Amino acid sequence: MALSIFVVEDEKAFVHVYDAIFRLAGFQLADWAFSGEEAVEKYRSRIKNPDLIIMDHRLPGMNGVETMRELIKMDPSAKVLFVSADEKAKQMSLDNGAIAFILKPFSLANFIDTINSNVSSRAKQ
Amino acid sequence: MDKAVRVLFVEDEEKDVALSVRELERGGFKVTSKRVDSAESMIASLNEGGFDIILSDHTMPRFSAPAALEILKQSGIKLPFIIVSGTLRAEVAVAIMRNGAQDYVDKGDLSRLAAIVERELLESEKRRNERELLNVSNTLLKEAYHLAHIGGWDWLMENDTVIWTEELYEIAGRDISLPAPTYAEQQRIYTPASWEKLVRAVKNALTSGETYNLELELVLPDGSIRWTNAIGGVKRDAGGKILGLHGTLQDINDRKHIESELEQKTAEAIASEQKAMIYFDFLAHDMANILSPMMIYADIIKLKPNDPAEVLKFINKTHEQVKRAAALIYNLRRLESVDKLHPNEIDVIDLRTLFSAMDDNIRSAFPNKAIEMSYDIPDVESMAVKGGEWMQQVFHCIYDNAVRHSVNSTVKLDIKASMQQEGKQDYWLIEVSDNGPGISNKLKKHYSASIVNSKEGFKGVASSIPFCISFMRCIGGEMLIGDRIDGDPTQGTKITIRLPRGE
Repeated sequence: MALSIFVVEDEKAFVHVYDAIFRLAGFQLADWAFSGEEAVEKYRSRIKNPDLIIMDHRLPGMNGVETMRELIKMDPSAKVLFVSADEKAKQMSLDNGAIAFILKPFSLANFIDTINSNVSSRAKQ
Repeated sequence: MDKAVRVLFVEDEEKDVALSVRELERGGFKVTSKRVDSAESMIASLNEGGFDIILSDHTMPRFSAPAALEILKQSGIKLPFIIVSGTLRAEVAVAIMRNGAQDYVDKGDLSRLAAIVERELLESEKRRNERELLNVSNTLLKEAYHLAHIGGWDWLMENDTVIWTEELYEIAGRDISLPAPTYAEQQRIYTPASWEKLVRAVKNALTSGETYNLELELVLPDGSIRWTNAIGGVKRDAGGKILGLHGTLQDINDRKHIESELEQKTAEAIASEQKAMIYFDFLAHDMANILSPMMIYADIIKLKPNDPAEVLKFINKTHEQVKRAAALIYNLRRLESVDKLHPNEIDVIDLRTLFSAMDDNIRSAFPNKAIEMSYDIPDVESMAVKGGEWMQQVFHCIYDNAVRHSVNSTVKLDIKASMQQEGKQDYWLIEVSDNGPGISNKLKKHYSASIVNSKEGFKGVASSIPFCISFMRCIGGEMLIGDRIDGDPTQGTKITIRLPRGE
């Protein structure tokens, strides 16, 4: 079963990027949030246990780490992969429960490998 | 070898003069002398000058030693004064010596005279040298105080008497012919804060005996402020009782100005460095966000080289990112140029000309959008504002933002202009309201925080907002992002611009 992924990213260019990657890798987009607040709201109401959450750090309003804390509070088994251009966010995100950190810009292979080696479908488990 | 001595005899008896001269010559002196026996002739001789010593009889028909001594004192001339008398009681001699005479010789025994004269001449020379040295050092001290802009003062608590040196009058900008202000009067020559500081320090000095060292602001008679460094310490009598204070006041205005200039320059340098760091951080972040899609698209093209449609699709997407990178560089350059802009280099533009040009501009930029513009502008002759051609960029940013993000079939833009006065400056207040989805408070904060931003969602518009805000500040204006209906961010956006009126 395809991995379902919830993306929290305010850069609209990444809608196309993740769409292209997910198609190639056979992942499924669970939903998209453009801010931390929207992510929390959607996670509470609509999203049903995605296999992975991709999280940007620099977001309008709440930042990625703050958003991740809220999501993990709601769902302690949530797996969050940080994808950020902000290198300073790396340690902070890992300390707060991120499963891995990918620094932008990243290659297709690096991205898919990181996901495959860290995440498996919850449905399979 | 004979020692020359010039003697002024105060003596009514010529023969007594001769006796004394003979005694001095016996003692190795070569004597020249003059005899006077009245106050008038003594004053005249003293004025002529040229004497080394005075030998005075005590009692004369028209004159006396005490009267002669008084004349000498009054003249200010420093000469040894020896009494040579035959009729003097010991206690009278002592009294005159207490009053300033150096010695007493009995006319009946002149054997000591030569030795006494020799001793007094030596003493006199020594005192003269000391006086000269003191004069020289006083002059030097005065010059040094003048060069260092240090004034001196002295204050006796009893009767509140204050003495100032010449330099202090100069520092305080006061007329030297006037008496120095008393301590109580000095409240007027300091700023209230400095006076308060001084009063506290004086109180403490008078109770604890401690010296104070303060920086005080003097208020000069013309109202200007001069920074000074005040040092004060207590004066005591022989028993240790505090009589008052004395000290110095140094003009440190130049130093203070240099210090504050330096502080300002340092703050500017730090701010500029911080700004550069923020620019760099945003630039690095935004470049990474632009490069990420390009890298992914290149990887996908490598995977599907034989699918021309896919290849073309991703090349086009890559091209979009290249355009974003170019826009980012353009915006950075523009921001940099605003920072370097001097307010005097900015032209004046008429608001009506600006509104008309921007009306055309936005319609041609979005030919497929229905745009309704309404204007509420007072009927006045001139609507000149500061800003020149730059204002077109500001209005392009506002209009473009409104049209691009509109969710309605017709974009409505209401433009209202009104005159506002603040102090001596007139401002034009321009409000541009749209019927778009509005901007959330969070996003408003985000806009003002971002210096450089090329996020695709904002199509290069958000990147212009910091530019607009910087530019408005540069020309003494202001730009605020608000809600069309205050407190309701879903009812559209209202951008308020405050522009200084142009001449």
